[in-house]
Order: sequence, then structure tokens, then C-alpha cells
Amino acid sequence: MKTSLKKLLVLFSFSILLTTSVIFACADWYMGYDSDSSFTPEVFADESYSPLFYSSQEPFYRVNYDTEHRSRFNNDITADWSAYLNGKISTEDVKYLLLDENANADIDLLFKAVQAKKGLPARFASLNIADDKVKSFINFLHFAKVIEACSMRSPYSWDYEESTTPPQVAQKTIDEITKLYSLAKDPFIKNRLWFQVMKGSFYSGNTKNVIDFFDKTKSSEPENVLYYRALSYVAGVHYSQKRYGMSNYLYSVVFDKCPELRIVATYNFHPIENSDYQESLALAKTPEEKAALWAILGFYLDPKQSIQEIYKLNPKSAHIDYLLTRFVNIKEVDLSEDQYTSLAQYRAAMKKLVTAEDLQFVTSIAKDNKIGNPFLWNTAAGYLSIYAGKNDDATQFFDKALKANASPSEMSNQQIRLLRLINTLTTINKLDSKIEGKLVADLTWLYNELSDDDDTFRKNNVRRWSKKYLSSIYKSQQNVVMAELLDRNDKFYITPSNVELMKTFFMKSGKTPWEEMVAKNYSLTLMDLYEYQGVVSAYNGELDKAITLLTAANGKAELLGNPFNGKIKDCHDCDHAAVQKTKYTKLTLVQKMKEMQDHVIKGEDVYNNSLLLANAYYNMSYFGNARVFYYGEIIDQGSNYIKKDFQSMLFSCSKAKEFYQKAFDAAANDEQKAKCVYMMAKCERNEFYAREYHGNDEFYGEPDVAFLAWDGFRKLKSNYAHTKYYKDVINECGYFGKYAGN
Amino acid sequence: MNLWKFPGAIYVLLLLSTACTKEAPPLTSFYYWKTTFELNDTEVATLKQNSVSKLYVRYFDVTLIKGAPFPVRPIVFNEPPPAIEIVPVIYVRNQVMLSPTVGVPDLAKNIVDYIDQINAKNNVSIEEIQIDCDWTLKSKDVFLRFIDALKQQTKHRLSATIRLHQVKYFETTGVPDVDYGVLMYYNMGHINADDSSNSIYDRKTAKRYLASLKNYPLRLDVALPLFSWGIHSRDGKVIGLLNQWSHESIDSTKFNNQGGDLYVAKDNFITLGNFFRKGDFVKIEAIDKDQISEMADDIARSIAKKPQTVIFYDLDEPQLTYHDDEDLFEEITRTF
Repeated sequence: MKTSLKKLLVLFSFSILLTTSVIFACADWYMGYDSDSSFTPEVFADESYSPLFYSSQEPFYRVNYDTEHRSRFNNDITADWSAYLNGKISTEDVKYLLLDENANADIDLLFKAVQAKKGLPARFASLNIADDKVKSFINFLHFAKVIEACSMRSPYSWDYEESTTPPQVAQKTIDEITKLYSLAKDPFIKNRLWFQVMKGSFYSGNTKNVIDFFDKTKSSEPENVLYYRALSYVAGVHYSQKRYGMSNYLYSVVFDKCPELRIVATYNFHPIENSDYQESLALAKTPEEKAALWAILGFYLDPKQSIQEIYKLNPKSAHIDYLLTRFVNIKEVDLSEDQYTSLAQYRAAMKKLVTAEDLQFVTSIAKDNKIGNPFLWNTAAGYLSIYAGKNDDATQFFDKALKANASPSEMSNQQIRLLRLINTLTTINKLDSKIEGKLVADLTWLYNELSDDDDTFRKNNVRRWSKKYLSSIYKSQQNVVMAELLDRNDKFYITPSNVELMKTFFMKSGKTPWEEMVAKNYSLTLMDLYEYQGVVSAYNGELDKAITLLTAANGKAELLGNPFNGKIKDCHDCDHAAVQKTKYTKLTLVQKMKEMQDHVIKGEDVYNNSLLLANAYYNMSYFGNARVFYYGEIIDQGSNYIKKDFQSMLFSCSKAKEFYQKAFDAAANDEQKAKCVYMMAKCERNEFYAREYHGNDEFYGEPDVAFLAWDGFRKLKSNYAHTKYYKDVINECGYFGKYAGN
Repeated sequence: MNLWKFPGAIYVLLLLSTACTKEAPPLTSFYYWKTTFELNDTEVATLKQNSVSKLYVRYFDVTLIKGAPFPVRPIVFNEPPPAIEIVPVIYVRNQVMLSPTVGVPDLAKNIVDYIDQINAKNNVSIEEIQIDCDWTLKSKDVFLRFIDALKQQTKHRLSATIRLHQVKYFETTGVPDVDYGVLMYYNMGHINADDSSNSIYDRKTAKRYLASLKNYPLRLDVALPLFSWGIHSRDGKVIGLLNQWSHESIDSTKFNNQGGDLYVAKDNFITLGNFFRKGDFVKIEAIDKDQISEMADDIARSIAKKPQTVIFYDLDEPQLTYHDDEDLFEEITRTF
């Protein structure tokens, strides 16, 4: 609908130069509606309200913005005409003629054939155009397409004229359709021509006719979807003429009577001042109409106020249902966004969120028995009672809800089970095997049995929350292993004794069902712990231990480049792209390093073995080509930022330096020595970068100082300037070149 | 001549040399950022009083529609623009630069053609085109190529708006090959409900960038803010921007002042097309003359070369009335 589009521009066109931040976050990081909600509105309210359910991220739930302006009724129109034509034209052809942009030429030919009895287009050669219904359809198509040329034209064009001057339907066209309408006898055809007069007038320069024609003819038209589409045009014209009270009243009628247009009516409902809304209320003739106005206002303003007003007017109104889901969802989202460090704090926040007044509001209506959807109201009353700390009341409300559920479904049963589980969990202060035994079935259902194929039912918030909640209880009981198993803490394994405690848990035989369930839902396995310990041991130079642990871990990840490379210039991509005869895993690297270390200890080829060993330690660090060595479930560091906890291990070059020094000491000639001092300069550089830049939270972008006169640079220049290696460094290393003054 | 014998001569010479080197202040200009061009009396008077010879008019935005770039909200001239230089400003959303399917040469050609169409229809002749795009590291390469493509398409001068972070990190964010840049000295903070911050201007934030100005390789003009707005929040979360709201927009029968720039809704109500729930907050973010002077001072002290023009955002009666100071613009430009 064009009004919608225009209004979209009016309402949401903040000047872009002004706005740098986006209020509604984009979908990039959006975790799903159940990231902060456990109350599924789809369980309770009719589907036609779906876009109006609460979303903390979008104007309209799931759809963001309404984009169905051109296609909303395509199926209905096709079905209506197919039924009317009753096989005289195939459904496929009806659809083609009504909806296909390429059908215009055929429609023209068909229209000419009807008018002047000329030949038919090939596709419709066998069509009986003498048939009244066929003839009426073709006449209708002809005029509908003329109007569509104006209503369907995209406002987006690189033609300035096109993008600023919307085409208008000619008065002559409207007059012709009006005449056909007045002559039409067949009610189906008459109704559709009537709608075309309304639509054509809306897209003409004569919008006054939209109101005049509607007022003159409305009583003789059925109150079907076309009627409410036409009424939306009337409302749009009133809005454009600043008659906001009337416009919003009419949109509320559309909202009330035409579920298909609920999102359109809501979107276009736009009072400017209180007085506009009061005027709309005064225009509403019946309690139902007034209720509809409150229903639509409740989307924008205050669902509680709207519910209260509607409840006074018509407690059985279905509009109340969607408003209550909004009310509950808004409360939940507010709680979930905060972080709490203790149970007491969390419970206090829950209580604060649902005031006594809020609780009274929902529970009293639930108890009143006047509403149309007692299942919803009792469920909501139970849920909010949990917030208020009234867990026994919650149980009673859930019992009532189940009894009141007129049409139980899998999802409605799941909803009650989920809320009962929340209720149970919030009463727990201490965990022992007895309570664990009671919880295990429901939590297994929640974590492992509920399907993730359909995201409608909101379960993930409780999945996440329940783990954190139980973890905090275990923490208060000093059960660090269970606390960690339920809520992964990335600092846990920094303490070595914790790794052993967790290994003991994993290796324990005869775990209880609860322990099995918890272990199954933990993100790490015993293998991850072995690997972590193996990797740490390798950085510490404990190669035997590393081999034992990495063997147990059985990891298969291959390093990307040759970890024994020691080039003048570090180029990870080049090393990764280079052909390698031997590919290393974490284990085979450490095994090879161990071989080399043994040679060094035995005094065999000390220079080469030390140098290669040093290169391996270098490449295992953050600066080397073998970062994969530290990638894992526990260290979990990427290639940009290294967490403080791991910086000393991953930035360090001390093991590498130790073996470069050994190589230097064992070097047979100046070429070899030159290489060692240069490699040690690289280590000095890495330690400087780590200290000044990578380890500094304030650092961003390019370093201010790229290099210093490293000790290795000085030695290379003063002692080894005669070597070939020195010349290679001059050629390849710009920093050294600058230092050396070349 | 031995000057030491004629101290008076030295004095005269000094005076003369001061007079000769005293440069004129930068020109005063404005952005015009509405979708229809129609100046009211206040706006016309402001242009005249400040001898404005150049007006930066937003012509259209370019955004992605179903994956393809299109002009949106093109300007419509309800009256001919005044007989001063008009500089079309095109806001290109960064998403256009990030789209893998957008062809840079075609986009540049379409934009120049579209500007030509607007000019032809409204008898406007131009000498310059300005591009406003908040390009990022990810879109840098495409943006810089786009600017190069524009240069191929038009003989007009090209300028581009430059954000503070683009100045500080120009080596990584890139410098567009344009004739000059316009430093956007506003929108430097996050929009939040917190009363202690101002998203339009925050000197502390600005100072983190000022030192970089002297190193920026492109000549810069300066854009300063006049506008104000309201930030509508509920339960600590921002739920809307109230465009053009100022303290004057606040109806004391509907809001209680909470001190400073913060107001709280007394009840549920609708006003100026916005829905307020009892307890909602409105924070007015506005810029006063002292702050504009402070900005000008800070920039003048830091910028490598005096700007040729200071452009105020934007030419709009409520903002002009809010500031209501005939000398404001001249005083500010004289700071440089």
C-alpha cells in the first residue's frame, strides 16, 4: 500500500547525517527471541497478532518491517477468481493474468478481443470470450492493470522524474470503472469493480473521491477483506489531510475486523497528540470499537493500561491476549538483560521487576473468570507469581491453567512444564543428591530432548539461566567442579589443581544420572583437558609430559606451516602455503622436539638441533607460524587479541632464546653465529611488541615505534657485517637495513 | 636606509606587515538537510546576514533496495534556490560500499547523472559535489575506488565528509582523493540514556582526536553542529530519537524536569507524534554558543591549515531561533 510506504519515510526518516547509532540493533548478533524470554506468545494469541508480539529488537516481531504490501493478498485473489470462473480459465492462467508482470500484452489482446472481437492471443486461443464471467474477468483485468501501473510502480529509480512524481490514475479511467460498477449485476464483479474505483481514486489526483465514493456506496458492499482494504484507503486520505482522529479511528476498525490487515493498520495508526486519540475514542461507536482503539494503542504505549481499559469494555476481547503477552515479555526481557552475582541479588531484582500492583493486576483478572482465555491469564499469573516470590501461588495458577486449556497442544504443555521448572528452580537454595534426582528428568528434557528444529518455543533462556542459577548454588556450596560444569568459566583452568579435579570427575566411574547429564552438556571433554595440559607442558619445556598428555588427548589438528622454519622475515601465509614434506600435529611436533632435545643433551649436532628447537619454540608462540599449536577449547585464543591469562605463555620467547643461545654457543662459524644473533633480535622485538602493543589494552592500529636498536642488531652489525647472512638480512629486513644505515 | 635611525618607520612597517598577513576569516556556510527545498524568512535572513555564498544541499541518499543501490528521499525544489553556489551533498550509506554486488563505475555514473537531472529540472548549476559516507575499514577499498570513479565521471570539484576516527587513523582508514574534506565535528558519542553524556559533542572524546588533525594529509573545512534532539528512554534503554526536540519542546504540564537536561513523563500520553509512558525519560541534547566556540577554539589550535569554510549543521528555522544570535556565525568563523 502506498500510504504505508510514504509513512514509512515520514516516520522513520531520521536525517542520516545526524544519526550514527542504530536504535534497533541489526540481526548480526541477534541470538533469537528466547535469548531473553521464556514465555512464548504463539502459545496463547491468535496468529494474526504475531507481528504485534513483543520484540526487543524489531518494530514488528519476526518481520521487522512489513514488506508484504504488494503480495499480501495474491493467494486470496487468485483463489477468489478461480472459484468464480470455475474452470473456465485454469487456475494457472488466472494466476498468470492477475499476478504476472509479463501478462500485460496478453491482457491487452484479450481486452481488444472482447471489445472488437479480434483474434485471441495464442495462449488463450480456446478461450470462450463470449462467456459473461470470462468477459467480466477480462474487463476487470484491463482496468486493474491500468491502476496497477500507478500503484505498483517502485518509487526507487535513477530517473529523477520517476522517483519524485508518482504516476496518477486518470479521472477518465476512474469514471469508466465507476460506470461499469454501477451497471454490474453480478455481486462478485460489482464488489471487485467497487474496490477498483476506491483503489484508482486513491492513486489519482482526486483523493476526495476516496471518501465520497466510499460513503455513498459502503452500505451496499459486503464487509469483506476488500471492504477493509478500501477503508484503509479512506483512513490514509484522512491522515494525509491531517484528520488524525478520524484516520486512526478507521485504522482501528480495520485492525478489529480484518486480521489480515492488522499489521498495516497498526503501522499506520499515528495520533500526533492526546487530543487526536480522544477524538478517535469519541468516534468509536461501540465498546468493541473502543476496545480496538485501546488494543492498537497498547502496541505503542502501555499494554497494561490498554488491557485495563479493554477489560472494562469487553473482558472477552481477543485483543487482550496479545497485549498480555507483550506485558509479560517486556517484564522478562528487562530481567534478563542484567547480570547478577548472587541468588539474593537475582531474587531481589525479580521482585522489583514485578510490582505488587502488576501482580495484583494480572492475578485479579485471572481469578475473575470473565476473560476469554483463562489458560493464558492463569499461566501469566503463575509466571509473574514466580517473579514475586510466591511460588505456591504459581503452582496453583499453573494447575488452573492446565485445566482451563481448551485446546492443549504439544507447545502449550511444554510451556507449562517449562514455567513449572523455573518455579521449582527458583525455590532451591541448596543442592544435594536428593534434589538433583528430582530435577534430572526435567533438565534432561530441557537440555537434550526439546527439539531445536523449530525456534518458536522459547527454551534457550531457561537453558542458559538454569545452568547459571544452579552453578551459583554449587559455588556457594564450594563445589567448584559442578559450578564449572554448569557454567563454563574461562578462568577455571588457569588454576592447575582445578584441571585435576575436573579430570577426576570425568574419570569417575558410576556417575549418577545427574552427573551424566551435567557432563553431557558441558562443552569440554576429558580429551580437551589432556590437550590443554599437554600444550601448557610443551610451553614449559616439559616435553616428556607433553607427549604423554597429547597422546592421551589424541588430537588430530595439523599445524599449517613447517614449525621448524626460521626465516629472516616472518611470513605465516608464505610458510602455510609452502610445500611441506612432513605435516605436524601438536603431538608429532613435540615428539620431534623431544628427539632434538635428546640430541642436544647428548651433544650431537648441537648447533642444528638447538637452532631447530629454538625455531619450534618461536613458531609455537603468538608470533610464529604454528599458532594452531595453542588453538583449543580451553586456551581458545584467536589470532588478534590474547587474553591476559595466556599472554605470558604465548608472547614469551624465552625458550626460543635459550636454544638460540645454545646454538650460538655451539656455532662453528660466523655465518652460524650471525644467524643466531639475528634470531635473538627477533625475540627481543617480539617481547617489545608484546609489552608495548599486544599486551596493552589501549593499543589500536599501527605501532608508534616499529623497531629499536636490538642487542641482536648491534651484534650483527658490529661482529658479523662480513657474513653472507648479514647481506641477506640487509636485503630482506627493512628495519635492520634502516638500523644499519643502508 | 638605516632603520635603526627611524624607529617610527619600523613601527609602520610592522603595522603594514600585520595588516597584510591578517587573513580573512573562513566563509560561513550551512548544510540544508530537508527533503523539500523551501526557505522561510528566518533562513533567508540568516543567509543574507552572514553573506553566505555557498550552500551545501543534501540532494539524496543512496541506499540498497533489494540489494541494488538507489537514490532515496531525493530533494524536491518547491522554489528556486538562492543565487549562490549550491553544493549537492550525497549521503551514501556504508552498506552500499559493503555490498559485493554493487558496481563502482556504474554507481558513480548513476549518481552524477542523477545530480545532473536534479540540476537540469531546477536550473541549478554546480561546481562541486560532496560525498558523505561513514566508510569503515571493511569498505575502505571500495569507497576509495568509488571516489576515483566519481572523478572520472565529473569535472566538478569533489569533497567528502571526514569523521574524527578517519582523521586519527587515516593510515588505515584511507584518505579519499578529493579536493578537500569536511571535518564533521559532531556525533562523537554513543546515543544513550545517561544524563552525563552528550552524543552530539563531548570535549573529552574530541580531545582524543584533536592532536591527529595536524597530520591529516587533506585540507579540511569544518562542520559544526547547531542541532538538538531528544533521547527517549525507558528503563534505562534508548527507545527513540526525538528529532529536533529542544528544551522548548518540553511541555511542563506533561514532563517534570529532573534537573539538567533530563525530563520525566508525568503520565501516559501522546505528543508530537510520540508515545510516552509514565516514567519515561527524555534527555535533551543541545549545543550552546559556548560549546560551539569551544569547538572552534579547539579545532583552530589543532588544525594544520585554516579552514576556508565553516559549515553549520543545519539551516533550519527552529535551530536558528534556538540560537537566536545574529553574531554567532561571524564570531565562530573569526575564531579560526
